[in-house]
Amino acid sequence: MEYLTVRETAEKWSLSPRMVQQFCMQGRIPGARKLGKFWTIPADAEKPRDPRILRKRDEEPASAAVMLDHTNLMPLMNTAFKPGRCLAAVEAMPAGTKRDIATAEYHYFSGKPAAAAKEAEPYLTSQDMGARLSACLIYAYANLSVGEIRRAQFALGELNAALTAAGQQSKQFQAASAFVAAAGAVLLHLPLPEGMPADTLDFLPMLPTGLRAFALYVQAHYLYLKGEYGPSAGIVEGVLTMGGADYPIPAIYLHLVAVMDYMCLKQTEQAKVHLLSAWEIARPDDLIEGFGEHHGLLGGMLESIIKAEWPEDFKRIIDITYRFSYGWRRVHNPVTGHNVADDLTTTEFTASMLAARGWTNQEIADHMHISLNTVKRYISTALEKLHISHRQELKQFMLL
Amino acid sequence: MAEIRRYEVEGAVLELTLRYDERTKMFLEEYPDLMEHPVYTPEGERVMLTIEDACAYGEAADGTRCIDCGSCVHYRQAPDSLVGVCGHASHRRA
Repeated sequence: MEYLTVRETAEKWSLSPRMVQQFCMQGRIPGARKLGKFWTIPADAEKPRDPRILRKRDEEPASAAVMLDHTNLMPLMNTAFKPGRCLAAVEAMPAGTKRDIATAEYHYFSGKPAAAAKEAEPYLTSQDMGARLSACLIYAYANLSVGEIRRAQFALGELNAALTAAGQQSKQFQAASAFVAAAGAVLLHLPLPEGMPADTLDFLPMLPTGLRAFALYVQAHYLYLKGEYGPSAGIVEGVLTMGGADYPIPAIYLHLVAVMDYMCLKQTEQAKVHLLSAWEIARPDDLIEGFGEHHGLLGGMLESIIKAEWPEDFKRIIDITYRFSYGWRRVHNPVTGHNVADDLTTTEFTASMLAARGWTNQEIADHMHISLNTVKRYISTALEKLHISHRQELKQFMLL
Repeated sequence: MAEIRRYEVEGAVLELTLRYDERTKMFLEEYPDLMEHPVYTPEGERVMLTIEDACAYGEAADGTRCIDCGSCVHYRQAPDSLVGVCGHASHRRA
């Protein structure tokens, strides 16, 4: 690939070198890399859009640039297929944008973020808003998982810009933008972006069934973060009953948030049912990314159920957890990228999370199928690593 | 040779093995199984681990059941450690 300097790029785009440098630092030019003190920019990189111009476009009549149908908006997420037929479902799509986006989705959800990022990248500036929004969402999460935080932040910024730009556009575009912006923010535990519809009912009916199911997963996750576990679980049960279960990708995520809810409600049998349901859907197609993303919130269910019976899959899930949590904490602590809770192993974290929720050592041991002394060792080690001396203090470090 | 940290808790002496943790670059204490191998102070009171599950006599400051020794009114935790002494009569050395 041919690369240009900042000065050459500035001349090509009729911008100041300072502006190009800023775009590089903000991660707004896909493929730009810093070599020593200097930036190198792919010769075929597209000039980033100026958010001020995007806002100005709001005042213009709807143009082709902001038209949207749902064909290319997260097409795999919106496809009903039988477990084990995911790749076949992708290959059955017509060649072109839709299949490309679906392939990127498939690679992302099956734990191959580098491939997903590469496949999504060409669509980041697509005129097709469905494809562009999808590409930004996949690109954000995939780059988070491979440690390319600037690129992830660039894509999240694009999602928020699209939401702002959607203000005066078609209802469908508003719905699609709200959907991806909420998915980008809630799952990373970030504040909802400005411009979100106040009520999900404002945009949910505008989404096709599969995407609506995933949007309701996002809503359930949002309620979980607010500590409203019962209503969150209620949403999940309702969506799965009313057709959401036919769409494997949303269904996996819905089951996972139900596990989180029921573990908080200490209804472990219900949690187990949902974890096994998610696993039955995910395993035939290797759609394991969601399990790694949610590990810390699943309250030891992966250790309790997956580890013993599917040890190799469990190892891969834990690998996903480590790389995803690295990106996650870089988003939350962009300067140091450090969070003391990351000094814990995933097992120490799991035992500590349950302890912070008021579980006794014996209950944790029974749940995780480990000895009482092992539990005590995990928790005492966690307390030492976190420099605290009481179980109650664990709460401040856990995702409760 | 393993590193040892020596604690004196109200007259009872505990020697804890230290284990180096690569992830945090710090030495961590390995606590003995004080349930299986009880240790008592010269006064006959039992040394306990702060995170031990509460026993039947466990009581929080507000009078409710507590979850572990660390939150029990009968427990006196040693400074800068995860061990302490249980002051409840039922746990005294016979």
